[in-house]
Amino acid sequence: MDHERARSLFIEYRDEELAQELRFELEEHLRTCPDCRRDWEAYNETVTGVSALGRVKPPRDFVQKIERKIGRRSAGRFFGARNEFNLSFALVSFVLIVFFLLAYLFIASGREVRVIPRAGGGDTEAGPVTGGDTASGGPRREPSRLEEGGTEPR
Amino acid sequence: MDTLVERRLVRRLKARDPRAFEMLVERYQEPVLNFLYRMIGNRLEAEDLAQEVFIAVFKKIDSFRGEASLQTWIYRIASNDVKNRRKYMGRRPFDTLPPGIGADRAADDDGGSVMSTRPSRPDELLEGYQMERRIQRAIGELEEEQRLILVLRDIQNETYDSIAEITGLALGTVKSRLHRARLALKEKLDIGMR
Ligand SMILES: [Zn+2]
Repeated sequence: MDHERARSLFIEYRDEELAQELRFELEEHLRTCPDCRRDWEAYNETVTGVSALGRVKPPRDFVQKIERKIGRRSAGRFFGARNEFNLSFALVSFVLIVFFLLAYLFIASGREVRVIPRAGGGDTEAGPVTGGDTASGGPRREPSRLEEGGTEPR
Repeated sequence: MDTLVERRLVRRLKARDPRAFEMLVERYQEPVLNFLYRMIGNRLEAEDLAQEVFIAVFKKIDSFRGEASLQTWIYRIASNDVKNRRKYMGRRPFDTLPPGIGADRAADDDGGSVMSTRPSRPDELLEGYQMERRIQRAIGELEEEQRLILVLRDIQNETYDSIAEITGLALGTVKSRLHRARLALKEKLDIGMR
């Protein structure tokens, strides 16, 4: 085996893909030819060095970064849209909840103000509308506020 | 990845399922980023380009026919992006792209070595770090086609068959180019002549 031929076999030799006979021939050449042996060692060392290079790790928020980019470029059609929608949806929901809560509190307090004096007064009973029952149970009469609104003041 | 699992993932990607896209990125982010980093030698640029690769995958997934594996297809997109970026960089002022395509800056970006085997002694650490920089710089000086095949084979551990699919080259060409790339790298690193 000549030097040229020996060196051309390095790739398969390293992959351990040389047929046995050819491998023996190459190894015999490497044993007797210092130049090719040195060349093989350097070749092998080079590949080993490259293979041992560290691996770069992606940042933890890599997916989110990409999704944000897609969101921006698709004008919110993908990914970005979902996030923006969620945010505004949450905001609108919060405002509505607060609004209804305040409205409820306002109405509830307004009802108390109106109902308590009437219940205490007793003389403004809307007897005919709510039935003949003339019991003085003020609080019981409370649900009739709506009906009372409809009755004529006497 | 299992062929069946991959097929299901592709179907969900085509339906623009956000969770499927997250799975895709989680599965391939490391090989893609590492590949790009070794191809261009700069951490920040590699990260930026990796994002573009996944955006391209998201956009082009409808054209994926499943003839090659998903990984092969992604590598093909990534290597095209590297080529296009090189063309673009070629028109930019030289100082933005130092010799060894930013290998020096890359080392700084990392704030240290990314060697997988971590030596404990400071002198070993320094030696490993310097060796890594030397190798990265030498890889950056290879011809682009040689670098592509060397990175795919010796760093990314891709098979010859998949490299042939990624590059569109014949198997014999892949092997002969890899051999030449290794010889060229050996010369640049001066291994065996010290
Ligand atoms: Zn010889």
